[in-house]
Formats: sequence, structure tokens, C-alpha cells
Amino acid sequence: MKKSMNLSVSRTIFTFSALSVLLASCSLIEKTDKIIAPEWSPEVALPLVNTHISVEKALDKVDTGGWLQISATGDLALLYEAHLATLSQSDFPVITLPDIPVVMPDSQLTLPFPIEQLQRITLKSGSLDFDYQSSLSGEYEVFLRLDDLWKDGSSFVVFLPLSPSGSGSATFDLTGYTFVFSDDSVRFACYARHTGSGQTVTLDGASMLLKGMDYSYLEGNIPYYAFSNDADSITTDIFKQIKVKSLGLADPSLTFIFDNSFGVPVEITSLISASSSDGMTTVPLGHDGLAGGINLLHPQISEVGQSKITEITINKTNSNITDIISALPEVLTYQFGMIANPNGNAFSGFITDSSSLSVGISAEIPLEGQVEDLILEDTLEVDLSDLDIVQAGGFKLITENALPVEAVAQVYFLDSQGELLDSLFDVSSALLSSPETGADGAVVTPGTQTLSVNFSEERFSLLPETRKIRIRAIISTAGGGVSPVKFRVSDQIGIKLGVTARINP
Amino acid sequence: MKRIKIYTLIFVFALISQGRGYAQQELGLHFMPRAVQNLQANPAFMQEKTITISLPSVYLHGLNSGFSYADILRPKPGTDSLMIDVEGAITRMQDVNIIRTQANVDILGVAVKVGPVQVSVFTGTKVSGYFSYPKTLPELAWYGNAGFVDQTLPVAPDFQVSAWHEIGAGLVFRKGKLQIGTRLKYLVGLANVSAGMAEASLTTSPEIYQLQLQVNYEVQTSIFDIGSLENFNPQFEFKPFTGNHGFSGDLGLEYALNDRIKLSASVIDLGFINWTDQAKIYHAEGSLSFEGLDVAEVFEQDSFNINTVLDSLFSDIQTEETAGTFRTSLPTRIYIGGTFAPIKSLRLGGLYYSEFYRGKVFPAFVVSASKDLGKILTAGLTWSVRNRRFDNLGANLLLKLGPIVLFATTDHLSSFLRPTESQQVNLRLGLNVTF
Repeated sequence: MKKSMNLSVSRTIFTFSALSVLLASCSLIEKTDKIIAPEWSPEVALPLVNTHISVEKALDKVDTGGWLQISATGDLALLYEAHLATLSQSDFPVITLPDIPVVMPDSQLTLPFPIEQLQRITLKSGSLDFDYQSSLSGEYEVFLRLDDLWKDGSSFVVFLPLSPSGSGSATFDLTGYTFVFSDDSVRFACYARHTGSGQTVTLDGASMLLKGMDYSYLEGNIPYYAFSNDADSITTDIFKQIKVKSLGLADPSLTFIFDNSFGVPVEITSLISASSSDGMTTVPLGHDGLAGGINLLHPQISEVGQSKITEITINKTNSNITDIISALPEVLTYQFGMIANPNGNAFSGFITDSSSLSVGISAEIPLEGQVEDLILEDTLEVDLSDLDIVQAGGFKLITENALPVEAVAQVYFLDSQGELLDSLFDVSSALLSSPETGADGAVVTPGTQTLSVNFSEERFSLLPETRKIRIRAIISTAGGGVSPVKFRVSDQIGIKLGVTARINP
Repeated sequence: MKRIKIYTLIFVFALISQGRGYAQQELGLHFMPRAVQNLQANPAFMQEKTITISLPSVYLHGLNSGFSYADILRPKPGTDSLMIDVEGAITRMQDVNIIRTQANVDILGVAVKVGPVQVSVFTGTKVSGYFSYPKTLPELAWYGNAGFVDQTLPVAPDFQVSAWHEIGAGLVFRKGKLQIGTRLKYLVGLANVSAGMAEASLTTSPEIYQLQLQVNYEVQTSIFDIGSLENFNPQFEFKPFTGNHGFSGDLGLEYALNDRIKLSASVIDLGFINWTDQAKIYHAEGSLSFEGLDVAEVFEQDSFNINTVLDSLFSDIQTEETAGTFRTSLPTRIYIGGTFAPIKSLRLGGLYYSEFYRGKVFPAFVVSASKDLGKILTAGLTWSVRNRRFDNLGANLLLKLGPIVLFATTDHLSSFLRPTESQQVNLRLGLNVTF
């Protein structure tokens, strides 16, 4: 009985154990084809950017086209050099040679030259038309001479066979001939000479016309003559694109460079003027010397072919340039008022057909001054649809600002219709805090700023719809833009940016 | 009697059909005096019979201390599906989690008892796998590092996979109430891949989340070739005999206080293997620090190549690959226990067990009861506290069919009855012949 009972207990235990194990196994196998994968959405924190961008490194890499200059002391200055205008002989019509008709009543004639007080004129073009009529017949030749017109050491002399009809005409090229005046007159001689006997006879009707004369060299007294170049202008787009409350530059300097190869004294009476785009406000650039005229250097007669350079420097001490810049002009118009021989004095100068007066400008603007509330705004086309793998996130931005500026910014996320989806910050936040500057305006202690922004899942869900980003920044120089600061090549900005993102890969 | 055999076979079949066996040393074996394999728990145990031959037996053991099947695969409420509950599994993990596997095949053994002396010889093959990882590693992978800002997280896994033959001989000597035994084993290492040094930590700075990875990691290999650090290409060619040699020893004693009470203590597998055959050591040391892209530098270089950036990051970690020998220790175990037999066929026992391996201590405490159910059947139960779990109910069963001794033992019955909730499983099946 006892043995039978033991068997029964053992049997029950074994059966129960075996069935339990088998049932457990079956249950698992049954469900293995219905396993739901988990949603993996880790939240990662990564440093994205950790860098220092110095002005020096940036200049090493960026081709500024020479616009930026570094002084020996490390100060920065903007340089601008350009050619503004060139006046040639044709732009300088102080002397033009008129046609000169000559009727010979006798065999010799002396006529005054239409322009007085000239010593020499070398022609690069021009001709002499000659007509005669006579009743002569036989072996005669016509003789024509201009005693004041020279070429290769000889005066102008022509012998023509007399036309059998007794009348004739001829045209002579005067290119290369030089008038050499002794008394502001030109002497003509014309007659017929018998080829056998040598007897001379005055022609009944002889006339000449000096026409189309232009000179390659003119020497003598250049008269008073006021002129200017054609007005041209520079549009300062930068001031169109930005808005700024005030702008001041500590020591801007403009230098106008006149390169003159005219052998004539020229006086400058005006340079440039600045105006708003609508032209309603125009401020001429004043200079202490402009009122009385500024004389340009010119080559002397012994220096034909050379040029003389005159520099006129405009700075804050001798001009109103700081006022002009502060007015943020949108158009700079340059038209140079000039007077040749301003005093009208008799003097001996020259003009050649290659003489020119070119004007260039060299601007040097040390990056020292103050800017208040310079507003930069731009809209970029972007597509953030790929951000749909991010569920939430944020970033942390740390700036260490050793540039003498401060900046606040806001970034707006817009949909394809330009409707506002969200903004990066609740309110515009300071990206760059103001550094401490010294008495000279240079940065002494960098400003540091830490910004943290978190995007909740709800906010992040809108970002993939972003198709445009509008960035608005307001920049002032350090200290609120009220005191001048100085930009130096050693200035730099440290940027550290870390992000957190809960992603759903 | 016939029915008992049938149900016993069903039970054994049910255990086998679960098919998953892993092991640290099982604890129930210590309380099975009729199985000569108990010499693996204490070399001072003397067998009942004059001659005992152990035929090939298998010994499997597995442990995942981090989580159970049910922890990671749960029914999804309101559906008939299962969901992978990674967070639940991570929640269950300890600071350091261990995965262990072990497979021993005791090929052949003979024990001969002559008077107060017992001599034994034996041979077998063992494969041991060990992998430990800090909880922070799966936490990092699953949650990301954003939740661990301003923390330094250990992330280095430690591991060792070894296989070796052992050939040994044992001697037990009885003097009065005291039995002293020892076993000496010559070891032939078949293959090894293990971490020599395993230090790595990841720090996420609170400033802008700069990352710093400190690494001092060493991988040792023998026979098993992983290729190179740059081109991982593992290859293994089995060789029954290698140049990897080692020795280990077991030492034990048993003292009979009286006819009912016995005390025992042993130290097992105190030894090492020198790995010299195709041995390589791969070492990586340094600090990887990613503080963000220096866009100014990128700007200077005209172009940006992420591979260049990564190369520069890893350039601070020095890697070295050398041919060299190394030594690994065996998992050394100690057993301190006693048995009390209120009647001749019933034994109650208690045991303190501890294993020392990879710089860690794995203790356990066991109580057991076993009963000789006639001359044929011996059945026993164990209850152990191990790996911070108290639900380790074990069982052992021994059938003595004439000279044939067939036995099975496990420390984790629940792994068969409730396999989804178990984190550990082990099983030994043995067949001996006694005369």
C-alpha cells in the first residue's frame, strides 16, 4: 500500500513537471511570430562646433581683393582703390584748330593765325586745298610756299606744272607738318614761273584752304578754360541692404590721385557729392582747399611725355567726410570741376594728342568707429523635411566674443507660404555679448554668452514643414554703439555649439 | 518499478527537450555521493564502489544575470502579441551584468578504491564563455547619452572564451575520520579569446556635450585568429593538440564528526593555462576626445572630409598588435559544507560556494536534502541563493541499475518549469558503471 502511494505521488509530480515544461515551450513558440519591435528613440547629446575664428585666419583664407589692410600695429583698415575717370585731348577742347581759307590777291600774303600766342603746332591731320586760274599758256610752273609750315627742316614748298588750260587745283596732305609761329601769323607765297626764263608772274586767281587740321602737339599759351568730366556715380548697395541707426567712423580718409600729362596748369574746384537714392538730399564733399581751387602739377615743355601726380587727401580734419559717411549715402557722384590756366596768365604750355588727365581714388577707412543697431535681415530657402527623424531636441551655444561688437538675433521658421511656424528664441536673444574695450577702443576682455534652447516634441513636429528661414540680426559695436571701437587682426570669436536630439532612426 | 522508470525517463526527456544548458559548476553535484563526478566538487570524496568508470557525460550551464526572457519579451496589453521591452530589461539589470556559458564533456574517468586509498584518472574537454558588461552600456545604446551629461560611464565589456582539454589523476586517502584528496590536471588549451585589460569610459561634458572616451583595452587570442584591429576577420581552425599548456589542482578534505555529520571543504581548479600557440595581443590605449568640429580649421583646409576628422580623432588612441604569450586563470571555486544524515537514507546538507573569476566573486549558499528511495533511486532537492535570486530550486536524480548509474542534476528547476522567467539554467547528465 505504501509502495503504491509512493508510485502515485511520483507519477503525479513527473507528469505535472513534464507537461508544464512542454506547455511553456509551446506558448513561446506560438507567439514568436507576433513580436512587436520596440520604438527606439535615443536622445543623443553631441558637440557640433568648437572653434575659434580669428580675423587673422579669416584674412589668410579670404581673398578680400586688397580691401582689407593690416597695419604694423595690427589695426584693420578698409582699402578701396579705383579709377574714376580719364580725360584725353578730346575731352579738353580748350584749343581746336579752325579751317583757314586763304585768297591770294598777290603773290605773297601774311595772315594772322586764328589762335594767338601759340608757338608750335604739329599736325597729325589736315590738308591744303589749292586752286588757281590764269590766262597764261606755255612752259610755266606754279610755285606754292608756306614759310611758317615746316617738315624735316624745310618749309612747305611745292612746284606744279601749269595746266594747259591755265586753271588747276591740287590737294596736299599736311600730316607731320609743324607750324612754327614767330608772330602769330602765317605767311603764304604763290606765283607762276616760266621754266625757261625764270620770269615770275602773279596768278590771277589763287586760293587755298587749310582744313581738317588736328594736332599731335601744341605749344603756346593755353587760355583759361573751365571744364569737367561726365558725371558718374557709385551706388553704395551696402547702405541699401542694411538699416542702421547710426554709423560713425573714427578716421576715414579718401585720396584722389590726379595723373596729368597735359602741359597745362589745371585747378580742381569740386570732387564728389553724396546723395540719397532719390536724390532729395545731396551733400557735396567739402575740403578746405576746394574753395580756392587746388592746383594740379603738370609737366613742363621740357617734360613732354611725362606725367605729374597730384594727390588730394580728404580726411576728417580737412573735410566733412565723416558727416557724409554718417548720412549713409546711397549714391556717390563724382564729377570733377576743373579749370585750365585758371589765372589766365600768359605762359608757355603744351598739349599732345596723347596727353591725359586720369583720376583715381584710394580710400582708407580704419575699422574704428561705432555702429548702433545695424540690422541685417535675410531669408534663406531651406528644406528641413529631413528633420522628421528628430522628435525633440535643443542646443546650447556658447560664444566667447573678442570682436568689438555685440549682436542679438532671431531666426524665424517659415512654411512654403511664408507663414510663421516658429521662432528659434522666445525673444530675440543676445548671440554675442559686448566685450569690455579699453580707452583705445580695442577689446580688453571678451564677452561670453550662453544660450540654451529646447524644442519640445510639439515644436519639433512643425520644423520639417520649414521651407524658409528668416534671420534677423541687430549688431552694434561694443558698449551699445555709442563709443568708438577698434577692430584688430587679433580679434576672434569662439563658438561652441552642442546639440541634443531625440531621434527615431 | 517499471512505471517509476517510465516516468523518470519522461522527466529526463522533458529536461533534455528544453535543450538549453549552461553552467557555472552546479551545486547539486556536491550532494550526490553515488556519482563519481562529485570529485569535481571535492577531490576528497570517496566512492562507495571499488571501481567506478565514468562514461561520457555532458555538463551545460548558462547564465544571463541581466534579465530573463520574460523581462525583455512581454505580452503587449490588449493584443495577442509580444513586445520587446528593452526598457524593462534594462531596469532589471544590475550595475555589472554577466553572461556565462559553459559546456563540459567528461569523456572518461576511472576511480579505484583500495582500502583507505582511492586513485582516479580522468579526461575531459571544457568550453567556457564569459561576457560581462556594465548596465551603462545598454543604457547608452538604448537611451542615448543625453541623460548622462556630466557623468563618466564605464562602457568596457569584459570577456573570455576558452576551450581546453584536461587529463588528470586524483588521490584520496582516508585516515580515521578524515579524508584528504587531491586532483592534478594537465591542461591543453584549444583556443582562447579574452580581454586582457578592459577599461573604457565615456564622459559627456556638461558644457556643450563634448565626448571623451578613455580606453585601455587588450584582446588576447590564441589559435582563434581575429585578423587585425583594422580588418576584423575571425578564423578558427580546430587542433586537438596545441602548444598551449597549463596545470591546475584540486584539494579537498572531508571530516566525519560522527556517523551522521560530515564536514567538507575544497578548492577546485587552482591553476592556469599559458597560451603560446599562435598567441597575439592586441592593445588599444588612449583617449578619444570629440569636442566639436573646428570649422575654422576645416575652413582653412578648403574641404571637409568626415573621414579625416574621424582619423584625427582616433589618432590619439594608440593601437599595438604583438605576438606574445599570455596566461589565463581557471575559474577557481571553493566549497565549504556539511551533511547531516538523520537516518541512513536521508541526507541534509548545507554548502557555501564561491567562485573567483575575472576579478569577481560569485558566491552561493545551498541547502539540500536527498533521499535514497530504495536501492535504485536517489532523489534530492536543493535550494540555493545565487546571483541575488532566491528562487533557485534544484533537483537531482540518480538511478542505479545494477552496475549502471544514470543521473541528472540541475540547480534551476524553474528554468525548465518557467523558462521565460529564468535567468540561469544548468544541467548535468551522467552515466557511470560501478563495480
